[in-house]
Amino acid sequence: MQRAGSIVLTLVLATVITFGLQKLVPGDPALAIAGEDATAQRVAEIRADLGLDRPFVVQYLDWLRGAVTGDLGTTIRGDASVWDLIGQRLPATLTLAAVALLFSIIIGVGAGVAAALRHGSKADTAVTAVATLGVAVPNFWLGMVIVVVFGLTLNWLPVSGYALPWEDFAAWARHVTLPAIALGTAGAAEIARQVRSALVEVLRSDFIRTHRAKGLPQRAVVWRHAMKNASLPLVTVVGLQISHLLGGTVVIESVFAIPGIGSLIVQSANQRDYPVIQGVVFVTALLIILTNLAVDLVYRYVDPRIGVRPARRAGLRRAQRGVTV
Amino acid sequence: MVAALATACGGTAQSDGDAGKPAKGGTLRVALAAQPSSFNPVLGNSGSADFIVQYSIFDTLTEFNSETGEVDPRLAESWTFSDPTTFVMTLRAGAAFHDGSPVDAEAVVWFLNHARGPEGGGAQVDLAKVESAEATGELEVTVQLTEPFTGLPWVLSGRSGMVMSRAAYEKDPEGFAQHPVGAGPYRFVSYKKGAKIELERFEDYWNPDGIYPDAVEFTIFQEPTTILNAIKSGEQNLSFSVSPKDVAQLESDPSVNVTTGSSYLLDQIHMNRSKKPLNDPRVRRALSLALDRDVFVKAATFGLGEPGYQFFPEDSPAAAPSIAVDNAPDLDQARSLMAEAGYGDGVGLTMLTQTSEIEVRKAEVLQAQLAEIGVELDIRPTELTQAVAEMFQDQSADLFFAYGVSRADVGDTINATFGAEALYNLPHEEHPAVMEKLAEANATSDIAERNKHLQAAAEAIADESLLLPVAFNPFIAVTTSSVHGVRVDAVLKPRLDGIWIEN
Amino acid sequence: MNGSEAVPPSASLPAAPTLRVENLSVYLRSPAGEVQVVRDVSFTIGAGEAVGMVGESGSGKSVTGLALMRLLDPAKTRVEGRAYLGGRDILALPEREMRAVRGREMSMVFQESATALDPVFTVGTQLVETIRAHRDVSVKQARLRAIELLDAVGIAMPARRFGEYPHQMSGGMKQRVMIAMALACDPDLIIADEPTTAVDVTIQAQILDLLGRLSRERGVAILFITHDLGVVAEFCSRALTMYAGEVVEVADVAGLLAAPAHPYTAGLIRAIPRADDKGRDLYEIRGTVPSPTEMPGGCRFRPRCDHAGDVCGNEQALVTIASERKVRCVRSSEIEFEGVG
Ligand SMILES: Nc1ncnc2c1ncn2[C@@H]1O[C@H](COP(=O)(O)OP(=O)(O)OP(=O)(O)O)[C@@H](O)[C@H]1O
Ligand code: SF4
Ligand SMILES: [Mg+2]
Repeated sequence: MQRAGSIVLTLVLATVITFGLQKLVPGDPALAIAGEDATAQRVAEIRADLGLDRPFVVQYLDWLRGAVTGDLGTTIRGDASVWDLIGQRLPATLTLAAVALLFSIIIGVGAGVAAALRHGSKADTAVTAVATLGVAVPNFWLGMVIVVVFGLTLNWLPVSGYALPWEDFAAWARHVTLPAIALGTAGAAEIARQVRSALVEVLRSDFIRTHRAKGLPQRAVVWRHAMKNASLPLVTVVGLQISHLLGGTVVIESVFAIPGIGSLIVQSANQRDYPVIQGVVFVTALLIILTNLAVDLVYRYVDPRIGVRPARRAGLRRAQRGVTV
Repeated sequence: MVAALATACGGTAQSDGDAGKPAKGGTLRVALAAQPSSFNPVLGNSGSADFIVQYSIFDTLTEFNSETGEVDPRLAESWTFSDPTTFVMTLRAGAAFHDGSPVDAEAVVWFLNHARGPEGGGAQVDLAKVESAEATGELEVTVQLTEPFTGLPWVLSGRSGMVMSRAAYEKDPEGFAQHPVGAGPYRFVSYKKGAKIELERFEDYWNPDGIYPDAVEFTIFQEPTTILNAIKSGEQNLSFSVSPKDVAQLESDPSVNVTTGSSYLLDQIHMNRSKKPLNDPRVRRALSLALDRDVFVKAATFGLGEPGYQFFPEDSPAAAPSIAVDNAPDLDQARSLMAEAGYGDGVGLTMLTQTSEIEVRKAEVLQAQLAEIGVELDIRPTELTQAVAEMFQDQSADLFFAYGVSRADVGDTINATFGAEALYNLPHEEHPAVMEKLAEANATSDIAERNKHLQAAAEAIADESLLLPVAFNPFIAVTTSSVHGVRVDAVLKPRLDGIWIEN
Repeated sequence: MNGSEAVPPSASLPAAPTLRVENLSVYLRSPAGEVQVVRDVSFTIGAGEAVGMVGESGSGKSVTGLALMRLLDPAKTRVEGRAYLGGRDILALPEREMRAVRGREMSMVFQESATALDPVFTVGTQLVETIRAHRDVSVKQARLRAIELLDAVGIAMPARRFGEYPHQMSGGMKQRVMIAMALACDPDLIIADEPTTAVDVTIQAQILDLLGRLSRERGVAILFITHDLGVVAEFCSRALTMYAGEVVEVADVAGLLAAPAHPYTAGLIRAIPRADDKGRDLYEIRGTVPSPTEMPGGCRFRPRCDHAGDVCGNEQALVTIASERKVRCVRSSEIEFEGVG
């Protein structure tokens, strides 16, 4: 009940904020629509047509009434329904983000575990350094470098466009690789860092010594026990990465000319297509909320203490905050 | 500033070596930097982004010829003004829409009435002087005008000449933009909004000769660099959306062909003439004399494009020969004009510009040049629609550096810039000297006569320095080395006719 | 050897001790170089015998236990010496073989029951895992055995507790689980490192009772590490006093308590709180245990010793002064200890 309340609150806040930002950020959709034919009178007419001359609150409530009944309206020019548009674009974004996430997790966990097991060694220092760099590298720049190296110089993979896996799997695999790497690298770095530090900490703990004292093989100690204990920060960081990935698609989809909701929001922002921006934010907020729900469920699975002792929860929250810093 | 009159200015096609004879076949993959605003031509409003796609789907009544500045026949085989307010046009036989219906007088009359009617959107403005259109024969259309308007044939080379299928439109007016049906060389196949447009060759096109690729695919990009990469890697094979800064690099790339030339699209400084200090013609004139436009072109646009001394390009018949000479840089005179106007100690002006790297770079060159006469420019990079609002609605800036309004007809361009209603005209009142000359130009159907009046209009604009021309934008087309036949289009609304792919 | 209740029947037989430690030394590696934290420790424990190891914090008791278990990180420590268990020197075994020894032939009960159990697995899983690491039994059999063990260490409703997580249990119960785990494969030796520090007095008594019973009934040798001489008195037959990484005294418990031979042991005994202490300040040995990097030369206890003299500046050897009694103090025979006995 409390949870449902907080979901609704989050959605309302997210949409109010975007709605507000759209009004604050310069640029008038009426001027965008009027284009080259702009006359003062025509701009005013368009504004009236679109209802942009009504008070902010009225416009928002009007939108909200639609959204509640599942109606996100049409583009500002009225030539497509926002749902249809998002429906067309979402599969590209989701498949791209999924591959990027998989890449982040595989590379991040692999590197993090390797570094933690060799804590203090040269390999560890190298992983830590690369990961620190990886977290800081801007998506855009990395995308460009990857394009130049793998697309243009080595000619291995295409540098633009997309296909969907269920339409043409081979084409999809070729098109998704570079953008997924560009999109997933920061996440891989972040996951590597979190896994490493969590695992180093776990490996120091008393119960790991207990497991060793029992005569468990190293394999079981690390992958079964240490990893499960370290997976709480891992789940947290993966959850955060999903939000970051969705954000990152805005840049990466533009760089790789992928028709997903990331490039949709760029286009819509350029054209001041408020209903589309609003719709994309709404859907993205929903996705992030779903992610958080899933993360909470996984928490409960990996750590039986959750929801039991307030003190532990505080510790967890600290751990989660630590992840975001 | 797109003017549809006069000869093309200095188009130079490059590196299109001998690739043999044009052949049919292949898919032309065109990278666009923006999505078309609509597939319904009369509703479109975004200039070049619309036209590239729409020209393929919709054939036009006339065609602007970049080389001669004249209009050539297309769906209309010939036309004449039987008197200054009566326009008679004969259509060619055998042209048909993609749905099979014929392009005859009835179809064209319906279209003209539709375009100037309530559902006509932006085309209404183009055809405002049309009083009636009538089929006076199976292939003959007679248009009555409310006042003399000899710019009409030029207007019909643009969206107001992109005849739509009545049958298709009336079947589903709302859905027409999703399933456009015209009489152009390619028929519409599919559109993923904002992402990709697919067209296939229309086999019954009346003039199949210059139409080579089997299919055309337009892909919409957000990132200019991605367009370059996609061309270099061969994923796309044609783009008209490349920045001047990338041209030198591309010209040295053997896998890429670059075609450059100049256009009528004028970079200019809009001035708020309704308040101090720019209400003083001496100040406006001083600004113009302070600009070294040759240096501007070299420094800001990498030597591409042409210096702009007046409203129309030098070799346009509407250009007045005297103006270029008058506008040659003269810092001494500029300084003394400033002193005369009371700004001998200099003056600060705010100038809006668009946010892209190249636009800011241009603005900085202007800033340096104007500093020579004590004008301190405060450059404010601002998103386009916001800049328009700040400059022309709120009037919170002195200057706005941008390219101009683009209309198919020179007269209309003048009207949109200096007419009483024009948003871009500050103060918002008609400029009598200019508009008078325009009316005289429109009253004559004699081309030479018309040009004389247009020149007079250009002089009137220059006399009072109503706006500050800076440079004409370059035309840039980039293709993979296997694509040939690209021609410079002076109005930056290129057609795909004649382009072919080597296999 | 005295007649305390801890003497198992087997002790009377002339058998080899379960564990014989010879000259165990432990060095910690650090960027600054090695420091020795345990020096030349030697002792034996017979089957069914419980040997106490006492000493202040930092005297090297845990490090000794961990070194015997081979649980010190080889990257950070170096261990010298020999330790015979079941006829083999376990300090020389390859890691793979050592893994089979741990948990099966010897096991360790740690002090921190709150953190020594894996928080995200049920105690049952952790027990089953221990059993299956060493015995080729089905999960089902292992489960039965685990419940049996829980029952044996006195946990009520063992079948239900089997499925619980550590955080659902009290400290005493966790410690019992630790003991059950240590017992899972019937080891010959249990190293109990302060197994009762974290629990209250009643639980402590129960746990000691449990360990004592197991030791007697199953003949398990126990190394009982503690601060608490009182517990040693109750539970152990013999005891070692550790100071600054060295064994400074070895004795039977009764003899040790009645007549300590080393000033340090005497200080520890004097510091035990008593019923008649009321109103008096509790005795404390002055000063603190020196850090391994700042070990004084000669007798390591000298800076804190009330009886120090010139002779004490020499290295002190562990000297046998009676049967089963050794001491590392040259002045031992000259000193009268107050507040002891
Ligand atoms: N991992 C380590 N790193 C550095 N020094 C250590 C480490 N472990 C132990 N030491 C040092 O080794 C010495 C012996 O420590 P040990 O834990 O064995 O003492 P202890 O007798 O068990 O003390 P306590 O009664 O507090 O458990 C101490 O000086 C301690 O500081
Ligand atoms: S040797 Fe000397 S200093 Fe050391 S314990 Fe004995 S008396 Fe004290
Ligand atoms: Mg200890």
